[in-house]
Amino acid sequence: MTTGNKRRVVTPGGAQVLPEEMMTEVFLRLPIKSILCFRAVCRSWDALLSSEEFCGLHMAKAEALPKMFFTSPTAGFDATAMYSSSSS
Amino acid sequence: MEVDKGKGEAEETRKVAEADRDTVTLKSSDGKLFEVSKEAAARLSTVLAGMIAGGSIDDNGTDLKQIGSEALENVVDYCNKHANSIPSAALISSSISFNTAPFKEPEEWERKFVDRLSHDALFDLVEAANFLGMERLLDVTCHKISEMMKGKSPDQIREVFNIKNDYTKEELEEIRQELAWAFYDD
Repeated sequence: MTTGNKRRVVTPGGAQVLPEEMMTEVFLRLPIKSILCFRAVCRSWDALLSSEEFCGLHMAKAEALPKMFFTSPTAGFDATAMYSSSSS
Repeated sequence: MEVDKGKGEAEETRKVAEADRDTVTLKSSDGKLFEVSKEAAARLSTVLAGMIAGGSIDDNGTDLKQIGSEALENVVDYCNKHANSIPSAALISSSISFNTAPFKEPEEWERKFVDRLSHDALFDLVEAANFLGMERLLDVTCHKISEMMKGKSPDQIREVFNIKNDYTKEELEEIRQELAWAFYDD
């Protein structure tokens, strides 16, 4: 990153790398683990990533992803294991 | 891609020529002119499509005061590359997207297109794509940034994106404990 671009030199207040709207677009493409982890980056990211609005949007995206779902018999009595996976 | 347009054309001739041209001229905030395929601009940018349909395209260069020349050059480059590539089924279906639809993977050439950009150029391009209502380009650029972020620690993210840590040590420790599995369990 060049230092000549004043817009992106982050202030102690924790300014955004990009405007919030576009940062949200980026965050929506991350797996849940990264999102949780990135709450520790700075306060403004924490506020955005833990907001109800963001969680709702992320959930909607995750639900739309194709999922694998399968069952398997287990050794135990009267039990079936069910697995579901997604790319996030 | 930059063009030097001849001055002194008669207004009437210019209007007729404009209607027949298959390119439009865009002007960056720093006054540089770029020519872009009209078809691709209208197809890829809702804002440019509206301007073309509404006749607010200026043959001397339509002013895009919010976009610098480097970002505009990349926008134009992207549009012109799109104009020359045969749209795949994935691209056609991506134009019909909903807020909840899963993201489409970038095409190979789109990946290469964003891979060569510096961080600043990439971020400027995200903003330009957003300003011009270019959903596909926004998708491709945001995908690239998310790829750069995946698997990185908060420390690495701060370094890459030049973000100041505004937490106290105690607060950070608290977050780490709360989200221990996300930090340490890979």
